[in-house]
Amino acid sequence: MIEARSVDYVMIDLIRVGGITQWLKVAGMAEAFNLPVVSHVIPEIHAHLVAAVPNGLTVEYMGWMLQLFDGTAALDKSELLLSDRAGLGLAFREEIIQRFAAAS
Amino acid sequence: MKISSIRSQIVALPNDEPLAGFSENPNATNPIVTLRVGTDDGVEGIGVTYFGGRLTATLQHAVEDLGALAMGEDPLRVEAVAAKLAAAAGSAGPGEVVTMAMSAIDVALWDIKGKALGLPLWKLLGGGRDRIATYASGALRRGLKLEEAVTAAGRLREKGYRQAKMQLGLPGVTSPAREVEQARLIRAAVGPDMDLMCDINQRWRVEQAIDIGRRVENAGVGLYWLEDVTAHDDYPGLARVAEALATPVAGGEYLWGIVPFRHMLEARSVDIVMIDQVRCGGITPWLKIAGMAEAFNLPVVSHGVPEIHVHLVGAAPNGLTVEYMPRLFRLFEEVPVPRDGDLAMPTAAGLGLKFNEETIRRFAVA
Repeated sequence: MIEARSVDYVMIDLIRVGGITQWLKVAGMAEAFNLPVVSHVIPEIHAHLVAAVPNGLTVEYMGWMLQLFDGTAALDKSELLLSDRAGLGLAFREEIIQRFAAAS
Repeated sequence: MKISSIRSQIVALPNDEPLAGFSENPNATNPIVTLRVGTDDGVEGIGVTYFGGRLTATLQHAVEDLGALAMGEDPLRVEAVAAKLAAAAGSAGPGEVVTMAMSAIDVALWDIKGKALGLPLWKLLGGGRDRIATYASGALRRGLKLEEAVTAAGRLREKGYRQAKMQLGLPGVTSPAREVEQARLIRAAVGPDMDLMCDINQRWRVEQAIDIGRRVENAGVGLYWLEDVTAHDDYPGLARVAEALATPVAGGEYLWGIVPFRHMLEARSVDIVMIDQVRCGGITPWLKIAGMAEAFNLPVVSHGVPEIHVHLVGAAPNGLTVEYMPRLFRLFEEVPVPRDGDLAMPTAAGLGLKFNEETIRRFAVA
């Protein structure tokens, strides 16, 4: 897609690309092609990735999973604030999981 | 965590050749800039940079000036520090002194990160495997007499190396026939089973590369790769050679930053991507290039500094082999040593390297 000059913004989905490891490789390649990267859903995790890379542009703030986690990035004047908590900085909200779990 | 100190030195290491014993120029020295980056909580990272040649003092100054800008910054935020330093250089680069200086700082920051997290670098970077192939390099240079090169090749075989690199593009009076003869005699000395690489260091024109490359193929030498066959930035010219030869064409060590690799890969200039952690700007860009090469279905190899590159080639899923170039060996207390032709991944945190203080005292020139 990048070689064919198909897009001006490269949107990378960590689920479909195969995780954080692959996400970072695609972002690095986009940087070499002078293209910004944006994320697709899961802002809870993508905030780390888009903020970490020099060509990260904006995080899609899709609220699908917000209630699943404690520790999601805070919104401040339309920007997400990264925290210093270790790892993803997220914990599952067990009461939500108990309430909506559909299979164990 | 904050960066609290920066200390650099120039160390002029002797140009000896410990792998097979024949130095091209035993009286020469290789000037290396060493860097130590201290932090407020006591973790120290180390880095090195070189290729400064007669401008090594300039390179050291660049390391010091950029290092001063990094003071007070969080060493774990490698990209943020790189952005600050790149902006400070008046929009120069990527290229030459700026990039080579930034490389030393980038490496030291990754060393700090690894030490802070208690992880050897290769594990932090993906941990693709716990051992990696390596090839003897620098022992079969074009400046040696033919008998010396052949004797050295035999020694490499006796020492158990499974891969080794020779050079063509011979100095002085040469000819295609003379080039082929050199390759044939070195192949005979290392035996049929060793992977034999051959470096041209940009000394051939495109049509010479195709002509001599085919002659070497027809002589049955069996090269594992042919490296830097012509000018490093002649991407279409390299692609012509890669298309014409069955022998894999390797290149990339002369490129600055990550963007030239994009042009090289898009032009299908090489079959094997060689990445130099000093010239590309450090570990951070090295990994981006390796990832891009993976997307182009190409393997990556390293240039120089096996002590650091072992982590990177070992971490990347498309890492092929580490150049075992001994130029900096004296600078460290311990360096990775091949066993059965492979390097085992280091176990200590960060780079797993310590400067040899005695070497530095003995050979420091600034």
